[in-house]
Amino acid sequence: MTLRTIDDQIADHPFFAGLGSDFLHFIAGCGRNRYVEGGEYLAHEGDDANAFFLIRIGKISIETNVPGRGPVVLETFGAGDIAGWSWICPPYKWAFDVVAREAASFIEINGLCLRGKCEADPVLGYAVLKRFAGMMSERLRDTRLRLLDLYGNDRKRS
Amino acid sequence: MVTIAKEVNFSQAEVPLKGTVVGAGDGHRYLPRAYIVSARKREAADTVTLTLKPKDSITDACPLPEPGQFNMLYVFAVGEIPVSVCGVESDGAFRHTIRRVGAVSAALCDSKVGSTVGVRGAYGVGWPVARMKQRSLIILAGGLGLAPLRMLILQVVRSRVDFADITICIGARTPSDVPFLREIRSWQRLKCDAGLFDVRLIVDRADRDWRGEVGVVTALLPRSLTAPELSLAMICGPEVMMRHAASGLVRLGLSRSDIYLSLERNMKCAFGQCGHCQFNRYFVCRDGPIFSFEKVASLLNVKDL
Repeated sequence: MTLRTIDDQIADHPFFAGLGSDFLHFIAGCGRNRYVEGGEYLAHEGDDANAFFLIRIGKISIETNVPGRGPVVLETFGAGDIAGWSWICPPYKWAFDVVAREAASFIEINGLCLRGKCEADPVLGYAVLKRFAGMMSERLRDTRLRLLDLYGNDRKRS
Repeated sequence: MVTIAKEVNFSQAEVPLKGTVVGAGDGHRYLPRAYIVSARKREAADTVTLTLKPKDSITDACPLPEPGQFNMLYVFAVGEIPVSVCGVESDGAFRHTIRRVGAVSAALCDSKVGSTVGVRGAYGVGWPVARMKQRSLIILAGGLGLAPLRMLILQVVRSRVDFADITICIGARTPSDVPFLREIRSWQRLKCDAGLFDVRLIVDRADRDWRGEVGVVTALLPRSLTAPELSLAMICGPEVMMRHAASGLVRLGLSRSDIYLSLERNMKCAFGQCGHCQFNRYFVCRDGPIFSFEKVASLLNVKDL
């Protein structure tokens, strides 16, 4: 059995599809494999955001605590998804909790490390930022669709 | 409302008909037949499923619908609305899932077991069943959009080997709003050797007790397709969702002619004569409600159409 390196795993992840091997190697240098059990927190709202997660197996959720209601699940992500962009923009604080819904394996990329590499190499920085901008754009579109509350019974008259 | 039947020409040439006629001739389709509410099941706070059996005999019943077709349901002294058929029982009874929206749907939702309603149909063009064989199917339902797809899904489950991969994506508002939840769970448990059979459910919002996925239903679409030219997609739900889903499928490589949507407009006569459901050059009741995205893509962005 061949041991797959983090370079290989990142190259296979849909988020980084098409990125050159040099860049993948740079990014992999900031990554480590992690495994967590269901219920474990990957990040807490308000803490320093120094990482993002490339999910390989399992399911994680973005949550927030609503007084009187308890934790509310805002969105769930599974294999092939990515979670975490607070590491890119000041003030570099997690906006929400990140929780494993079930046992999950993922690659954790150190945001401080990658930010440093992106600052030093703007071509790498632009390539990384383009991918995050695309992902943010998709999430914003999805969030707007949910804001419409399309399944709500807004035509109800009686 | 049903008196409009006196004003129209019932010739086959003018009104293309589909479905198997169980009872008398085709004039039959334009008169409500008496049906008894034989069962009533609450699906959600504002949604019920009614089982309707012919009151007199099966020979006095409406034609059996194809998946995606609809019937006109008439509550006496209240009015008539179009409702898609979500199932046909072995004894010929129809299942209709109805959400309380206006006066007629509210009356239907409140109807008691044993009460009588009028039924005429089946109307419209259904899902492209003839094009589905040997192809990979992507079925996407949002909210009560699952009802017009349920018959199709049951047919696919029964004839699983006739198709390649099957992906069913279902979205709902909250866990308590998921229609046919028990049935969805049974589909999720189905095992099949003949290719992928993936049934995924997502809700817009949930608390932690919900162990499933949370997000918008279009997020369940596959990230890529190995053979988009062999895939066929069927979508039903709010029109905004269908527009985004269809565009997402086009980005995945599906041809517009291989994506089908179920449109909803204000239908009255149900056979293309009154004009209430006119949608540019189409009448949704007669030319739809199922349309290929190729036919309607440019019309979906026209405001007030």
